Amino acid sequence: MNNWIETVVVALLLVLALAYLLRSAWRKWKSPICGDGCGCSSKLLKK
Amino acid sequence: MIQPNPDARQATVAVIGNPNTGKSTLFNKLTGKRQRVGNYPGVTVEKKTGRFQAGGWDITLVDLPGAYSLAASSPDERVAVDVLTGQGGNPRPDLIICVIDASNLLRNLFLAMQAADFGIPMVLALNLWDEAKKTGIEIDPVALAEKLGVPVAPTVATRGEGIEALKLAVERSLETPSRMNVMEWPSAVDVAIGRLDTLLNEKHDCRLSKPEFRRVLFDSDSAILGRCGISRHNRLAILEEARKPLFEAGLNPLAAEAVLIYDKLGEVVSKVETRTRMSHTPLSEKLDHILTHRFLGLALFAAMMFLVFQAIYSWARPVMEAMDWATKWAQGHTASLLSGSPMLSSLLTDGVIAGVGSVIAFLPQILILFFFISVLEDSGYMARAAFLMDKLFSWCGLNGKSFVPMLSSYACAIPGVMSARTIEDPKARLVTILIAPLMSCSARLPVYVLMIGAFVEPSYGRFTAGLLLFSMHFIGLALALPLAFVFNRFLLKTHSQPFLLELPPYRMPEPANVFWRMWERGREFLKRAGTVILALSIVIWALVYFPRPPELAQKVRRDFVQEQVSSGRPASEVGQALEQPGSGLSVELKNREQSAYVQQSLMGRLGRTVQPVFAPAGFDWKITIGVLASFPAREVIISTLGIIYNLGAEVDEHSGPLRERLAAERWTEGPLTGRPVFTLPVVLGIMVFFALCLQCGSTVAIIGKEAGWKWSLFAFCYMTGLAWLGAVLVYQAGTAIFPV
Repeated sequence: MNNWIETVVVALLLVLALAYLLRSAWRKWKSPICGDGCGCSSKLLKK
Repeated sequence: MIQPNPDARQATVAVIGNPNTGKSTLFNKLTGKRQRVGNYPGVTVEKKTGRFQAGGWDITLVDLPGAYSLAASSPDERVAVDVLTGQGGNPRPDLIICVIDASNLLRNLFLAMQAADFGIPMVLALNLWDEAKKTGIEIDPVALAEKLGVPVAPTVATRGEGIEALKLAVERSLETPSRMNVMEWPSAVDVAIGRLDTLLNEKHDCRLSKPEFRRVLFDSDSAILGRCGISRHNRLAILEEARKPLFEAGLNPLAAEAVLIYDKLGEVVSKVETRTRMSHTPLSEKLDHILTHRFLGLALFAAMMFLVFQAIYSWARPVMEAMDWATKWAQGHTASLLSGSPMLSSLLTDGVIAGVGSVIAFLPQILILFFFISVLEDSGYMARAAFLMDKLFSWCGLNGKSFVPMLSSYACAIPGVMSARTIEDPKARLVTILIAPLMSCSARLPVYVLMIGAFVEPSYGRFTAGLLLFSMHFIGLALALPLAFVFNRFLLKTHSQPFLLELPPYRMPEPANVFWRMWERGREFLKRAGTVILALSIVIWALVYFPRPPELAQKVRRDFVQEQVSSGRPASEVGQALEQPGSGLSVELKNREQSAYVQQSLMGRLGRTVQPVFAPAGFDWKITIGVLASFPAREVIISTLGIIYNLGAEVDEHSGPLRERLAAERWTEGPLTGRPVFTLPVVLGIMVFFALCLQCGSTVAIIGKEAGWKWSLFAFCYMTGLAWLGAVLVYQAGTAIFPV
C-alpha cells in the first residue's frame, strides 16, 4: 500500500473515531443513556 | 413490531397497580416488548409505552410505576397521578387496566377505588391468580365484576394465561365504557370540598375537578395542589380551614379516606372471596424464618454472594482463554496481511484488536454475573436482602428502601440512581444517589478479573482469587455506609425514615426472563465494545503511536550496539545478529525501539507528567495513562493497557495474553529499576482505585439530571479523592508489611 494511502486511511479512521466520541458525549449530555436495557430518559422528575 | 392499522380507532390505556403485582410482565405480554421485570417492588420508576391491537382498536399502552395509593409522596408515584389527571404533557387515558394481586385483593382494590374516582373506565386484571389458588384463596370474578361494575379478567401474566380474555375485556370496555361504582362520600366531605373550592378559586385562581379536590383534601402533600403554585405554608393554612367540616363530623381527614374505602371494599370482598385456612406453615414462611434471621440471614447472604463470585471466577476461565487465543489469532493474521503497511497494521492489531479484544474477553463473566443477579431477583430473595440491610442502613440514617437502588447499582449505576426515585424523603434520596455509584458495577468486573488472574491466582490459588473478587464487591458497600452517615449528619441533616417493604412471595425464576436479562446485558456490553471502546481504542492508539521520529530508532540502535560491544561482543557479530529478523538481539532491539517510541509519544509524555500524582500509590506512568484514559468509562483501562503493552513490545503469536505481559513488566528507571511494576500492593491499590472512583461519564450525567450538576460534581470529586486515598493507603500499608 502506498504511504500516502495508508496515511489517509489512518487519518480517516481517527477522524471518524473522534467524531463518534464527540457525538456520543453530546448525546449522553443531552440524555444519559441508561444501561441495563431500560431506555433513555431526558425529562426526569425532580422533587 | 406492530404495524399501525389505518382503519383502527386509537385509544390510550394506562396500566396501574400496587408494586410487584406483575404490571410490567402483563405490559410485555400485551405489547410484545421486553420491559425489565423483577420480583421486588420498585423495578419500574418511569412510565413506559408500547402498542397492541384489540379488535378494531390500536392501543397505546402506558406502564406506570407501582403505587399503593394516589397519595403520591415519592417522584415515581407522582407519575401515576400525573397520567390519571392528564398532567405533565400526558393525555388522559381512555381506559385503565388496574392490575390486582389476587392473593391480596382488599389492599389492591384500594388503589382501584381511588383511581375510579377520576371517572375513567376501568378493567381489572386479577393477576397472580395461580399463586392465590395455591395459598387457598378462591375469588369469584363474575361476582366481583357485578359488585364493582367493571369487567374482571383473571390472569397469570408470566405464562400468558388470561391475556386474550383481558384483551377482549379492554376492547368491550372501549366500545361501551364501564366505570367502577364509586364511593358515596358523607356530606361533610362535599361541604369541605365546597369550602376548598372557594378558598382556592378566590385567592389563587386554582380550578380543579371534584376528584382532584378530594385528593387535595385527603393528602396534605398532594402533588395536585403543588400545580397551583401555592407555598407550603399557605397550603397548610388553606387545608386547615377547608377540613373543619370533617373534624366537626368526627372524621380525621388523614385517615377518613382509608377508613371509608376499606369499609366499602371489606363488604365487597367478604362476598366474593373465600379463604381456606392452610393446615401447614407455607414454605415461604419457613424460608423467611431462616433467610431473614438477623444473624443467620446475614451469614447466608454473605455465603451466597461468596459462591456467586467463586462461580463467576471459575466458570468463565475456559471461555476467556479461548477468547485470548482468538484475539491473538486475529492479530497474527492481520499483521501478516498488512506487512507492507506498518502504521495501518499497528492501528488494527495493537489498537483495534488488542483494545477491543481485551475487553470482549470478559463477556463470559458479565453473562454469569447477570445470570445470578436475575435468578436472585426473580426468586424474591433480593427483597429479603433489603429487609436484612434495613438494620444496617438505619445506623447511617438510611433505610432498606435505599437498598434497591444500591442493589441495582451492582449491575449498572444508572438504573440504580434512577430507582432512588422510590425514596420519598428528598434528602435521603440524594444521599442514596451519592453513594449508589460506590457499589461495584459490572464494568469494574473486568479490571478485578484481569488483576486477580495475573497476580493473585498464580501465587495464592483459585480459592483466594474468588475470595478477593468477592471482597472487592463489598469495599464500596463497606465505605458507603459510613459515608452516608457523614453526609446525613453533617451535610444534609436527614432523619431516619421508617421502612415498609412488602416481601414478595418466593417464585421460581422464569428461564425466559433470565435469558433475556443476560442477552440484553451481553448485547449492551458488546455494543459498547464495538462502538465507544472501539473509537476510544483508535484515539488512544494514535496518542500512544505518534509522534514517531525515525531518528529515535537510529539513536536506540546506536546505543544498543554500543552497549553490546562494550559488554565484550564483537561488532561484526552484533551487526550480523541484528540483520536476522528472528534472532534474540534483533527482537530485543525491536522491543527497545517500541518502548522508546511509546515513552516519547503524546500519551507517554502525559503519563510521565501526571505520574508523580499517582507515585504514592506505586503506579508507573503506564498505569497512570490507563487510569486517566478510564475516566469516560472504566473498562477502557483494559483496552489502554492492551494497546500500550502491544505497542511497547514486539507481539507475535508466541506472546502470552495481556496478564502475562503485565506480570513481566519491570521498572526501567528510578530507585526500583529492574523490579516488577505490578507487586501485590500495587495490584490491590489499582483495584481499590477502580472500586471507589467515579469513572463513568454516563453516571456523572445521570446524577446531574436527577440531583443537579452541583451534586454531580460533588460525587465526582469525593469519589475520585476517596479512590486516590484508598489506593495510596493500600499501597503504603502493603509495602510496609511486604517490603519489595
